[in-house]
Parts: sequence; structure tokens; C-alpha cells
Amino acid sequence: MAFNRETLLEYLDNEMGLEISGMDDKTPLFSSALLDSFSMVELISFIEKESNIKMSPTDVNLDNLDSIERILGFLERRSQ
Amino acid sequence: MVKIEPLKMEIFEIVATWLSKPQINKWLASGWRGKQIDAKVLSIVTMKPSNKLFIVRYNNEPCGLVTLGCVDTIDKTGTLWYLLGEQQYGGKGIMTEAVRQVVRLVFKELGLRSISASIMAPNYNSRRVLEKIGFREVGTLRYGLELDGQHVNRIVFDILPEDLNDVMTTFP
Repeated sequence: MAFNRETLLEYLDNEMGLEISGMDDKTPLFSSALLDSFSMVELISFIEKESNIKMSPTDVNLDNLDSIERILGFLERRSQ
Repeated sequence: MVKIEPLKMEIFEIVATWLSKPQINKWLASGWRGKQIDAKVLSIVTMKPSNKLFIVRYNNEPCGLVTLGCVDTIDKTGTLWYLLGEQQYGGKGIMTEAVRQVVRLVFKELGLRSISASIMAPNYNSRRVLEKIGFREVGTLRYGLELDGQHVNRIVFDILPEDLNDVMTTFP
């Protein structure tokens, strides 16, 4: 299954319980405390599983993960 | 000699191992308990600006972790937790000294007005660490935590800068 914006939004809505209608692609997910550390662990597992891209500890940072836009940007860079 | 320093990525694997040890993991907050903990988890936790993690070294060997979490820069508070990762260093006062150093540091550098901590009621070692430093027991949350399949009380402590018992432990 291709990992795309809709996949991510659906996960954040259904599994993380976020109110996605009030969010945009730049909304901070982690630094704003929308997601706590353990939710982020689950999100990373989901991203890895659905995108087939393994994240290293050095990939885990706010630049790569703190918004929908950053997550998709990271995955796009990684898949090139 | 006991030293504390900010936790860096090079030590994540060691700390993840400590957090995963059953005899340590069972005393942790529910978010950590029974979970697969690896270096990536530590990356996530350290990513959050409101978390400050410190590695404890005894004679330069990493042996424990002290964390100040939920740092609230508006209310000037934070929540402390800690663990001794290498049990062979137990009984020497190392974690007491390390926690004292972290508490002193964060009061000074972050300007916090109070720090809280909580323990499972049967965790007598942890209680001693807090009391020696100057934390005061402020309450009990009945059956607030689960330990080995049974609910136990959560004992809550706090400390203000003026409470800190700042007498350093001497080590051989």
C-alpha cells in the first residue's frame, strides 16, 4: 500500500484520536504535545510498516517527524 | 566520583537496555512498562523540549539515568524520575548524589519553583533517595499504580529550592 497523506491522516484520526479537521500539514504534532512520546513510538512503527522504510535513531528528530508535511518530506527524500 | 551529563545518542542503547530489564521496568510509569524499548524510543523522548535526561556516571562508567519530564516553563514545575541501571553499584548512595545534582542544576538553570516525583509505595529504595535529598511526601494516590499484577498506592513527593539538602555525599 502506498504511504501518502491520506494514509497518514487516517491513522492520526482513527488510531491517535486527533481532530484532523482542525489541523493542517504544518501543525506541530509532537512539540505541541498533540502526541506524547509513546504515541510517537506507535506512529513511527506505523510509518515504517506502511512505507517499508526503516528509521534509525538519527532519523528520529523534530525536523523529520513533527508535522504531516515533515513526515511526508522525510519519506520522499528517503525513497529517492 | 558521581557525575551527571546530558544523555547523548551514543548511550541510548545502554539506557534502553536498562529500561528493558524486568527488575527495573516494573517500577516505571505505565507508558514504559512491558514495552519494547530501544534507542529509537530514547530518541523520541529526548526530542521533546520538556524532557531533560541525564546519564549518571560513577568513576566514568554509565550506571544510571535521571530524568526531569513534563517541564512546564509557565508554571515552573517538572517531574523527576530515575533509575539505577547497573545494580552492582547499588547501596553506595550514587543515585542519591546524582538526583541531588540534577535537582540542584534544574533549580538553578531552569528556575523551576518546584519539582515533583512519585513512587510505588513498596519502592523503599526510591523513597530513601528522595527523602535524603529533601523531598517531602505530599500525598497518596490510592491504588494509583500497578505492580506485579496488583494495584499499589502512588506516593507523591515534592521539593522546593529551599528544601534541597545540599550536603554532598563523599565517595571512596
